[in-house]
Amino acid sequence: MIANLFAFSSNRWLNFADVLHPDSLRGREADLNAKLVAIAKTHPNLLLLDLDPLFRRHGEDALLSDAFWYTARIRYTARMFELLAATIRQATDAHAQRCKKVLVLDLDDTLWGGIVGEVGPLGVTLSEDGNGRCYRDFQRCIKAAARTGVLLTIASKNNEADVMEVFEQNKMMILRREDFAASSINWRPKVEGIIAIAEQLNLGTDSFVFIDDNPVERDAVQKALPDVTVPDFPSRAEELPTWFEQKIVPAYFGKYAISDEEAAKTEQYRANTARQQLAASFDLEKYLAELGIECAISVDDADRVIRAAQITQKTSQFNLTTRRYEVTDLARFVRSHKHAVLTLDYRDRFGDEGAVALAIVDLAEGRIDTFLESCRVIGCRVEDRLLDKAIDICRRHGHRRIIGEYIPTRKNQMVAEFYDAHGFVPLSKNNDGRVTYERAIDDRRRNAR
Amino acid sequence: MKEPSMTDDATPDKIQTAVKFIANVLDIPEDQLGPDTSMDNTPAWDSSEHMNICLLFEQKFHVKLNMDMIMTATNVRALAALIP
Repeated sequence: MIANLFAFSSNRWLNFADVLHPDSLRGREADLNAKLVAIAKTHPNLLLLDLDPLFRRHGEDALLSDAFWYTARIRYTARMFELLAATIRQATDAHAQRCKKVLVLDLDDTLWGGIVGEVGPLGVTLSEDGNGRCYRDFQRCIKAAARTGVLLTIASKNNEADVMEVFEQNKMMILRREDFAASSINWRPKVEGIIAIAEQLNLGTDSFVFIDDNPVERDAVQKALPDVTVPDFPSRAEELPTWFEQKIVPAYFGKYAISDEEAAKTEQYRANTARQQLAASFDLEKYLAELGIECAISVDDADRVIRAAQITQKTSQFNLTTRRYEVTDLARFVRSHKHAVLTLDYRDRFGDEGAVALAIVDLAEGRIDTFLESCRVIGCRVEDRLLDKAIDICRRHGHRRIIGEYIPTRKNQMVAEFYDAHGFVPLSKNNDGRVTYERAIDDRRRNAR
Repeated sequence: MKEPSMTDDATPDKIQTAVKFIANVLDIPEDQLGPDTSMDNTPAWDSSEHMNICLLFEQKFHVKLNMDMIMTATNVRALAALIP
């Protein structure tokens, strides 16, 4: 049985006096509701519904109609009936405990602003003042959900060490490592991470809700795991707390009653470390084909030097040599016949990302001076096309071999074996870890012409 | 929400929009409806369905109906005149 709490209209016969007067309407409303709550406490099959949040959110003017009331004793507008139906459905789902169990969270630009691999554990946007407050409040909302028994997990493409530094060093973090029941922090497709989390927690992915700011990641997960709930993500950081409280929690994590065990749930799952084999059936090739990726590589384009310089400054993870260049350097390379500057523009059916990868080739030496890719397209394999182009340009300049270098930094271990995986052989290795590679250039293509 | 004027004439466009809307609410084919279709000549359009029509009309066309409108807009032509 469902009953709504009394929600009197804002009309007050006593006007300002309604606050203190013994016949206060507001007081009557509170008394009646206290009685209803007392009844519900002893009658578990009575589901009490509080409509007050609906009136506060949407306004009485939009939800009540005097014309329909006096014509046909219909108190509500069509809008209210719609909201009421949705609310009753959510409440009955909550009452029947048909809610989701696991919240899978992305990190960069989701739990904090910015990319931790680029800006470091203290450089992420997360604070009590300014824009960082959006993310800090979002974390507070998530922490509150965890207290009602929602299991928090992480699926993030990052170096795990970088993420752990945020948990250890960033004092603005509301969520702690121990708030998460499981996590997958690596450069593998997120689908694999979610499957691993499901097996670790021994829960079906149909009880998972996946939150990620990146529509490409959301689409990949939704396609490969259709039973995972993948809501859209707000376009602006300031919308995060309200979006989570009004859209996500009632729709997927609604609780009618919260037991003492709920809050201890995370600990219980954390203790369950029985990790089983992955049963990944995710087909990466098929997914990439469906993405409709289009790349265009431009060579020595003077219009792109500003963006090219910018990505040499900003990119730390997929960056083989991490050489930082100014705009003037790039302009010089573009003009010079001894260098070729290759920029790769990327687009797929989700939109245009612009210039996302860069190669600077020393044509005199046949050497790849710089090779980098923005983390937005990591995993899409477009770097292979850029490398092919770099090799092609060296071939045209008469080189029979091409030199590549890997200079290790604290951030770029994800590309430590990039050249090994692309047919290069190591020539020398320095004490500081720097490796010089060489790859023979076949002249098949030249012969074909 | 603005209150529509009751003296607006219903253009053919608005008549067509109203026909589509009524057909949808009452679940009857559009070709059985015309400007003169009303509560009096349409059994499916009873007083309870009329409230449904008016409630949904407000929401669909973003207008607030007053009591007179609810009582008199009982045919397609009159409803069409209320479309902003």
